[in-house]
Amino acid sequence: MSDREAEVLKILKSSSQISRFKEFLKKMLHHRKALAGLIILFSLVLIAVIGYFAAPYNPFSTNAPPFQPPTRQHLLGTDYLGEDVLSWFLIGTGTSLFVGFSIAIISAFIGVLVGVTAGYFGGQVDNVLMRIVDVLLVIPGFPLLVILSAFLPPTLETTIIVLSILSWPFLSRVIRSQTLSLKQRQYVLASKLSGLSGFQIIFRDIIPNLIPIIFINVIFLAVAGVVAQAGLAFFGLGDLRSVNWGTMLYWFEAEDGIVYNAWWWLIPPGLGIVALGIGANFLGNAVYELTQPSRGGQ
Amino acid sequence: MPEPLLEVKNIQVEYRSKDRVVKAVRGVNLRINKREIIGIVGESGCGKSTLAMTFLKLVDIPGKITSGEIIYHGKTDIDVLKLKPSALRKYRWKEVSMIFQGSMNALNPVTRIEEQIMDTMIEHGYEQETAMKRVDELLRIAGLNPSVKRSFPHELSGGMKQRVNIAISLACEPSLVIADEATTALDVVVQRQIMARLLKLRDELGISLVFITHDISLVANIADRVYVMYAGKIVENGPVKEIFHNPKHPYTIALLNSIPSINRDKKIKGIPGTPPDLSKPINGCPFAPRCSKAFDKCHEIEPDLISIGQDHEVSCHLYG
Amino acid sequence: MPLIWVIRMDSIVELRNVTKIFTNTQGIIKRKKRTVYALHDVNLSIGEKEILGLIGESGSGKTTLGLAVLKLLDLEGGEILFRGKDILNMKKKETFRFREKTEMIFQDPYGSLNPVQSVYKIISTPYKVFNKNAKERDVIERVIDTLEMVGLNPPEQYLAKYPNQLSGGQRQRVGIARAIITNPEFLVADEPVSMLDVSLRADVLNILLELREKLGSSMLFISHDIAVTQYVSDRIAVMHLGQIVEIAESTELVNNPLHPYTQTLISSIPIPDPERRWDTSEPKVLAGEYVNEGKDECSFANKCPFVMDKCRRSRPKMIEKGNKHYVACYLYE
Repeated sequence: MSDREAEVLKILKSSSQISRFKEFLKKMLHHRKALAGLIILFSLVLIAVIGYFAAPYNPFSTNAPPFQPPTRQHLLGTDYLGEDVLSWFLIGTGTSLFVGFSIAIISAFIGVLVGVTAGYFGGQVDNVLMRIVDVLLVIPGFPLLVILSAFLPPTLETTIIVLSILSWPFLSRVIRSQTLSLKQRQYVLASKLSGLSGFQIIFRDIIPNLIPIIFINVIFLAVAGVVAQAGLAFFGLGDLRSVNWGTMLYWFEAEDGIVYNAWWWLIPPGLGIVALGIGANFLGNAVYELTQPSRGGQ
Repeated sequence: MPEPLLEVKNIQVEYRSKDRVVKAVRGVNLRINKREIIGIVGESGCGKSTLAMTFLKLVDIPGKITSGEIIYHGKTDIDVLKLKPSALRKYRWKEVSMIFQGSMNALNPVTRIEEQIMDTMIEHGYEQETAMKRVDELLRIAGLNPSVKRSFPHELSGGMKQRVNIAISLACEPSLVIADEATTALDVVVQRQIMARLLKLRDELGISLVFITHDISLVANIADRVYVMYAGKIVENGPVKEIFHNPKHPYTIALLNSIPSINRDKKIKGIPGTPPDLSKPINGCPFAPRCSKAFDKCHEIEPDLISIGQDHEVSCHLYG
Repeated sequence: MPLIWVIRMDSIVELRNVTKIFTNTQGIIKRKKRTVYALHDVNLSIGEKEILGLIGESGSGKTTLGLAVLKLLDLEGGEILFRGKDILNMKKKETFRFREKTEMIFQDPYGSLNPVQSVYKIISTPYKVFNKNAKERDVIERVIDTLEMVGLNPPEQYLAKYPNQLSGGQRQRVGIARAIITNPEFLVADEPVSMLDVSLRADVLNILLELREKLGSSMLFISHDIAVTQYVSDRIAVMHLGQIVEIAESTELVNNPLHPYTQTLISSIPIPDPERRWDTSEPKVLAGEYVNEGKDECSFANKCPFVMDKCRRSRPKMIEKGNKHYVACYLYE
């Protein structure tokens, strides 16, 4: 291996996708909104991790008096059964985030698959897939969930699956329209002329250029998923034995926490949802600005 | 004796964003006389469009005119940059108007042509009746059949839409019309037709025209005087015959040698390198890095514009 | 229609009676169907090592012809032959080999390169597709050689760059490098310099001329800019609304245009010589927007200042008027 070859290989390595990604991360860390979003989201994840390993109490243990304001032993006070709110919050954050991201990832997977296929291949494939999407979009989500919860086992898995089925159609439309626009790019035509097959073009030219949009949508889907699940739990649907933000709010409402002015019980889950929303918003918008400069971003 | 109509003195324009400042126009002096056709030639990024916008005080955030003055010699002398909004309305479109690049796409898609032309006049103080009567005449001047006034923009071709824009720019009887790449997107025959129209306007109505374009051949055909712009400054200017038969600035010479022409069988050469980054300070002549004739002084001191006779000015150390 | 004038003994690409129709429906309430003949019975041949320029205004069909000749469109009539083989009826394997031998150079330096791929990846991809078992070292060598050929020096510096780090002129050269790495026999260049700054065009045009010397490839050079086309091409074909109206060697066409449309075009070109300035006379072309609806008439009939009855009764045939100068116009019959 000559010197020149070694140098060339070194140059090629430096241009790899990983180093490009590292550069992009650096750019994000300098962007105010992105940094703020990352910090908020990272904090929430940290809380979830702490909850998994080091929650001070078993959330279901009731060795303390109920409706206690914050004390040294119970930093966020206790709920109507004397359970430690802090432990509930730490563990609940993890569960809520898990649910949100599961919904996001499953929806994204199906949405991208359907969207790219419909967009790239067009014709009958497009028609059939989009009719399915239309049907799913027409179904009103909330009433469906109420009805389904009467039939299906009220577990988190069910919630995740049902919410995923309701979310992917919207994403697939976005992906499809992006794919249609990308298909018109001259570099796609160039790939065709270079002898690449349809699938090769999808994986080399279309999907890599969809990643920013996919990422942004995944973030917003995750937030929507968390909020949806919390909302369902608040109405008493879903798995009420689970520890998450939604159930915290449910029990607060059901057991008249407001009468006891138990702000320490209400604020953490509420704040959690708000923080997630803000963090995701910052991060999503920042990524949009950084990757779509031609569309009115920075 | 040519009478000045618009005098531009030492105009500087900057574009400011969060992390950098781009000096798009770095001290330009220009003079447009009455009944004169001026060509401003330059490539993308040289600042010519920004410069054109200063004539109508159209530079807006993130752009800012940081120094210089523009004097318009109408019935009275007007200091354009100091005009207040109400006075600006009487200046824009009535004294000086502009045809923008790609303005064929700037027509309101849901309004008929007739209304759009009339609106311009009514906005600038014409009576509804007068405006309606003038529409036909304006469309004819622009080379269109007056029957198009009942059409919507999407029913017209690119060339026709651009002619509508010409009609609109003439609606309030300005003395100066600025055309910024007005024919760039049009077919060559349509371009020729529009150019013929505009030349007629100068002859018949006595208006002055400023053509801003990257197409130096176009300028040779219609302009009386030419300004060559590079990196935010005028590097050479003079009567059109001087510029084409006796170019002095290395950039002008290189530019003329880089275009193929059907009446010339020479090998053409491009200019190596790229224009300088206008967000960074420029040491010396901005063309020096790409100039085959550059010497030490060129990299250190920026040359001033000096006269080399015949109303011909150049900013290059080779000549002074 | 005698095909003798079209078929050259050494032609690499031939179009015979090629017709391409686009139908669109206009209007929201009263849906009217409109058939547009983008290509109307076109006959053309491109020889070995020849650069054929194709000029015309928007709507002339020149881009459509470029796409058709690369098997990117179906045709409603006629056939296109590549080295004698009908490209529209090729099987998959033959198409694959056709793709190896033909390539395109695109107009848009910003849209023709995938923004998430490095220069190395962009240029090496076509080569790897057709040489699946090539060793990485050989591919790198080849990419470097190609970069040198298009004037991007030192080539090593460009391998790791991404399109957004390059200027318009550099991107266009990368696009050319990609097109030539497989040593194609035939290239279609669709307005390769119209989106570049004026001072950068010369270099790209000179590179294209060199390609003919170094690679021995033929080229179809499509452009609306006649001066640019004349600089690069051996012969020029003039298109108007889907029909070829005149073909001649480039200098001959520009100095002695015969067809009224060509004459209008040539007289409308701005020449950078103030001694030959324009006056206020307008080109004598009758106004109006038309499309070719497939009638058997001269496509220029509606706009031609010399139009006669017979121009509308049937389409004039291509005849030779002078040395290899062909024109389709009744004025010369």
